[in-house]
Amino acid sequence: MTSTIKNSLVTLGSIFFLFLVWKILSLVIGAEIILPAPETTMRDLVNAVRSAAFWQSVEATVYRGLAGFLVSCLAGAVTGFLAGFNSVVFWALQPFMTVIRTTPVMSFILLALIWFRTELVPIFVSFLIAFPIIFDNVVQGIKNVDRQLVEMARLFRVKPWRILFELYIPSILPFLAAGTSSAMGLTWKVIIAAEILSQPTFGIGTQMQNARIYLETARILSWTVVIVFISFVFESILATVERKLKTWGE
Amino acid sequence: MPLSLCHISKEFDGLKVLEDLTLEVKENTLTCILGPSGSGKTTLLNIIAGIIEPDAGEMVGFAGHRISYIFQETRLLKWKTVRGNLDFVLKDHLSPSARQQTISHYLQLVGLEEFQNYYPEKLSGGMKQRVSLARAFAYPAEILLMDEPFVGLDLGLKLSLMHSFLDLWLAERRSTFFVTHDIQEALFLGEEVFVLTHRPGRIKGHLTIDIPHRERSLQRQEMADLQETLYRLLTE
Repeated sequence: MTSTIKNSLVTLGSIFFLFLVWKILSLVIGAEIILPAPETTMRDLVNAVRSAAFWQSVEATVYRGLAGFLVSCLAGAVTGFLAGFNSVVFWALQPFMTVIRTTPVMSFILLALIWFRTELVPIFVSFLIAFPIIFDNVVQGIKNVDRQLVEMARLFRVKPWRILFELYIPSILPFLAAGTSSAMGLTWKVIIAAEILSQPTFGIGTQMQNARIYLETARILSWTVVIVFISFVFESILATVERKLKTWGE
Repeated sequence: MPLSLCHISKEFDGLKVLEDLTLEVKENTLTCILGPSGSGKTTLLNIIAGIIEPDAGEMVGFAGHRISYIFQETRLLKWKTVRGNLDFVLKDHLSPSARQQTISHYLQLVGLEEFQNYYPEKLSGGMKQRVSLARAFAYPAEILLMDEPFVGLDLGLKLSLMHSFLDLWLAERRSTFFVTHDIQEALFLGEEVFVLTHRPGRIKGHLTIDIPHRERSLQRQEMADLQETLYRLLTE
């Protein structure tokens, strides 16, 4: 048996175990309103998927998540590059980064609710969470670029823009991959939190908040399953892109 | 036109590294600068390369020449293939078709043509060194600089790389300066050997080795004598 198959089996086994514990807990508690059984949740999920509102909510949330994520990547990469090359920029940005990093997510959400249209709140908040992560990783990546390689390229009079694209960018790729992956994971968590509070017309967060008001516990759980799945799908897309870009070695 | 360094001096933070260093060699000569560590060898190479300015002195015959390098480390980009690594340094200097030909030619000379599409990680240490030799020779330059390129390699690998280097160099001679602390490297490769003093580096001895490279062997009495002379110069 190859190790990949073995690993997949272990993962499947552990998912099965999770459902088992869930089932047992729901039997022990014996109140669907507190903890619905897994099959109730799954039935609810199947019902939800059939409705038009489901897809509109998923689409709106995915759109917001991707918008926040892409803006964060772009801004993080550009400022990260500038700060990586220039220590004045780096130290000038430090106070802002520290403030952004340490401010509670809820403060951002509440302020954004006052400042922006509800549609924009989740995007703005996810940007503030993901941007510093991308920034940090790009700066780290640039600081880790092999100086001897840069010196080699300069001595052989390689044009600066080619040094940037063919030397710097490939060297920081592993850092960028680590950064985008953790930023992506956090983006979905934050988007949902922001949607719950900002209540845009469509959004998974909005739906979850409605479910909470009507004490539809099964619905909250099925949306949770949906968001975990979305997160997983985008995580896999990122991993595939990274594999495609990293053409060398293992 | 000969290449010469006249009365070169350099100090860093009050520490004299090179003092009144003068040497002159003919074009297309393999010049070895032999010195103990801390004799300012690398500084001298950096001055020739134009990376650092001497505090005093001048260089004649270097202006307008392009320079190629062989480093102590292979300095290959691991995300580019063997061919890609050569292409990386040639792209801004040669047309695409000239590049194709040049790269194939030099990879063939170092016996790595079959490995042109391999990534450096898949190659042995010696093969990577050969790629860096091919890169240095493929680069269109009149002057070649080498900073202890064969240091820290085991004897077999060192000999085989020195042979690869000579194959390339003898096929098309170009003005080469290489610094080393290894007497054998100086003896087997150098045509003009300059021996440096300990810091601050000055020339304390110079000898010309006119035995053809292919005939150099320690079995020859002249070679044994030269080795003796270099040893004395370096240690006294």
